[in-house]
Amino acid sequence: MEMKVQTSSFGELEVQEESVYFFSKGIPGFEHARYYVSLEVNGHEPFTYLQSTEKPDLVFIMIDPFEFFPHYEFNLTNTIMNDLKVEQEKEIIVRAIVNTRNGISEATANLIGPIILNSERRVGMQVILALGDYTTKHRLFTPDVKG
Amino acid sequence: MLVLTRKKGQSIIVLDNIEISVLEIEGDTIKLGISAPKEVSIMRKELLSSVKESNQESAGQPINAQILSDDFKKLKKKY
Repeated sequence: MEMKVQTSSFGELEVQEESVYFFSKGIPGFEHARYYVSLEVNGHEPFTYLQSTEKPDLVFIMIDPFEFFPHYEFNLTNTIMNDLKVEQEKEIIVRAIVNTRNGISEATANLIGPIILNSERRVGMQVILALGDYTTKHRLFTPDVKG
Repeated sequence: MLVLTRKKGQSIIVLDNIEISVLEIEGDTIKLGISAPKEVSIMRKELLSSVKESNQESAGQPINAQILSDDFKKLKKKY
């Protein structure tokens, strides 16, 4: 089934209903918004988007954290794996929310709160890593930028 | 809010199976021990607050895709 999703950034989108991710707890700070689609837009690589299907102006920019931070690692507890209904590891998609508030050259990724999606069961959550040295702001680019 | 007074070595029970004990007191620092079933999520409040704040800052950023990807091409990855 196709459904129409209104978005502030991308206009009206037609998405497959079964492609919508359900975040049972929402995302901290946005607990009321629980349905999202993951969008890939041609030419926008390496960025993808997590767009709320309920709130047109609620969208997060995401990256694949392993592409920028090859040493990134964390453990998902069995409880989280159960909450996400994970049966096989290959179902898991990991993304990090990017903050471009201060321009893209200063963009930071939130590595302490990765977005974990189950591509099979279409559920997702932001996992907060209580252990480890990650923060909400890891720079994506080296400061000595050349034009 | 329920307010209880506890001494070192004493504890409180929440929901029958969560025990929070006062292990050590030193100045204005208290070390707590928490025994809870592993499905109970426990974290420092400031951690959750920092993630909330970061999410709120990151959400609804004006997305100008062309600028994003053009700028991106000018930058090199950190690693």
